[in-house]
Amino acid sequence: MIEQAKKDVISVLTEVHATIKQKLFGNLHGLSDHLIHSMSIYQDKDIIDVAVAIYALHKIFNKERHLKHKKIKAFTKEILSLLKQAINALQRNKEKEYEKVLRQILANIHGLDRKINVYIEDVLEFARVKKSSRIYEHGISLGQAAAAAGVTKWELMPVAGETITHEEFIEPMEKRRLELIKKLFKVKL
Amino acid sequence: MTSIFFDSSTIISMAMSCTLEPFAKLQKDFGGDFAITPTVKAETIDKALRTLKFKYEGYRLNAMLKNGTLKLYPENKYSSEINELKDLMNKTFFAWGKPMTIVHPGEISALVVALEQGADAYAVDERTTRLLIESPEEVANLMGSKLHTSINVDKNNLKELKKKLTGLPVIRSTELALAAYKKGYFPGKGKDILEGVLWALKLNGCAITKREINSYLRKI
Repeated sequence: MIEQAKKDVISVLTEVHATIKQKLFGNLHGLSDHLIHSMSIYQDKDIIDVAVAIYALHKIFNKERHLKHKKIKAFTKEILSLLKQAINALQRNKEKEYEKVLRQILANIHGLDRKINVYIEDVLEFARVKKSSRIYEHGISLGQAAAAAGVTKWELMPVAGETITHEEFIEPMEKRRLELIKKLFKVKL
Repeated sequence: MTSIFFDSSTIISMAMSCTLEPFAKLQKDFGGDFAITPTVKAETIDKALRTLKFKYEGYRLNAMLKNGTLKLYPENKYSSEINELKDLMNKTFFAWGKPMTIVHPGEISALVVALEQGADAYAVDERTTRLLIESPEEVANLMGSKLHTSINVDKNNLKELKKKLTGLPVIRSTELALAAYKKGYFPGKGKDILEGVLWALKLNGCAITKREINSYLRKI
């Protein structure tokens, strides 16, 4: 992992650890977006997976029903421990170890999700689509954003369609397009 | 033979917003091919057929391929051109000293075949590829403002990109919908139905602004 991105990931993981420990779960959503620039520029799976995991944790911890679940206490303890291990591994430049811990974090989220059914779909899949949409917002193409986060264009397009990103940046090429459809389909406008 | 080539984004937004039937009628009016490449087929039909959520759309699109509304154009003889264009696009914009990988190879195949075949138009709902064709400088502006960092542009590559792509006419599903509306292919008349169709396409991923939608509605 590139040094700048590594610093970003360590900083975000440290904040996530503190946030969960202090039960300030409302802050997790914002923290999952802190890596958006590194995600868009490097499109590194390990950076995207961190953002996906944090977003999924936000979805899990911010529902009263989930917080009352009998497995949540053990899950929280395990996640806090894994977050510490991930931070330590990155600080010691042990990237393989970090990747292994990150996979364990994702596996724990997946395991809990199967028990509490956050959504009909897998919570990690849902988080992947959301993060992919954020990459698309930042100027990366739809196909590249989908591939980087491991989702399909079918899943990404309706989520991307709900953002207002397009509103700000697309220069209208209206006249040219209207002339084209008049010519191609012989319609009067 | 006249042809319009389709990117997978346009196919997906039309399938998701239930506008495939008017689209099939438009193909008959056009008289030429509504063309896709094997990569576009893989991203749309094949992927949809492997899911529960989009399987029905996959079947509907597959039927359109079988009845000739969509026509498959081979892409394998253009593999070097596809790689060349992909590399050019992905080595033009730089952030933090690193070339930005902005497009996926899957997005380039239909574009290259359209260029090579001298297509009458290229239909793409996806924003970034369309900006690269119509106004590549805008891609740098978009990324710079969203990433809050300066985007460096390799001017030679940008020039080459413009040389390759300029002149390819671009449309989206929304312009196809406008043509279909004018032909009376939607169940109803008046601004209301067109507004519904244009918003359905936008909310299913077609990159069109609210301002553009309102402008289209004023024109009918």
